[in-house]
Amino acid sequence: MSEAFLLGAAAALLWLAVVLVLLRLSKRSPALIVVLSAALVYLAALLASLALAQRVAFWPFSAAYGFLTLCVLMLFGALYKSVSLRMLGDLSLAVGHALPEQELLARYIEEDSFGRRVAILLKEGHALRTAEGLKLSPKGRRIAAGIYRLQQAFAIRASG
Amino acid sequence: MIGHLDFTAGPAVVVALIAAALFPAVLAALSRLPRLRARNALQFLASSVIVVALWAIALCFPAMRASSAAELATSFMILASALTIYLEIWALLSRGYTLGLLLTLFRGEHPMSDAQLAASYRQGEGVGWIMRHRLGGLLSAGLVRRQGDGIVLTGTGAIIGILYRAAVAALALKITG
Repeated sequence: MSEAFLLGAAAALLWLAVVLVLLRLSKRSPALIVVLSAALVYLAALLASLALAQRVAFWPFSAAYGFLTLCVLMLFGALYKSVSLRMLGDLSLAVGHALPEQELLARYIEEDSFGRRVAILLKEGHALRTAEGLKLSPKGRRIAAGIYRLQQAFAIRASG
Repeated sequence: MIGHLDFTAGPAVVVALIAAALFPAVLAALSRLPRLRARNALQFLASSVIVVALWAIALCFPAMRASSAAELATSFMILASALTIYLEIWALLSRGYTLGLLLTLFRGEHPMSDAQLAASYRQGEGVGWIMRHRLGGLLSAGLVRRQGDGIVLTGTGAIIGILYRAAVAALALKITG
């Protein structure tokens, strides 16, 4: 069983190396790169284990790989999407580690995060820009309806 | 068994899979308790504690006991992985910024200008809410403090900020937040 743990940990390390290279070389979405490569490396490791001479326990291998990659994915998600962490990063660059509150808020609301997220909705085809303004595409409406139902199921009143 | 791949699951592994499958039902039930209403983080924490406790109790029964330390570790990693996946989904549903914009357009039912979308965000609280909410979180965690009209990093906040920038550089991320 400990061989399965080692194999899982080795596959997770391989995935991390693949991610570090792909993030530098590929122009695709970093989120897509890390998630897709995690699944591909897992499948590749499973296939490779079929060729090994000795028995590999599926559950310990999968548990070790899944646990390690998910720990990294969680950290990656925080680094990639967290507004709070970005505020700390920006403040650490400012003179005296300080910024006026209004400047800090405006920077994200008007100049950066909001506009970028609207651009993502447009680029992914979830929303359309018409003469009357932004509106949901049929695809965006379907996704939003699904998310709305999930929020209702878990009594989540609003996201953000 | 396929080739040399052994799919045999011990009782502790089965217990972890059942506990992981139970989690959404526990969370859905707890999120309806009046005392936990609108407290998403607390709902998730309470559900996790209940499911982990049930998992630990189940493993004490002789029929479900792990046969080795390795099986116990496997069982723990399966449950921890499942809870991490649920946490990611829960965070997206309850804290997702882009998702919030999508839902604002969905609820609006008519086209909106960028300014209207920003003002209608989070059922009329406006897009400024998210920044005030995140800044409030940083202030209460002691990572930043107010100084006159400004926001200043504390010692811990500065360390996290520097580590964050180092990690972003190491991962070659061009755009974050």
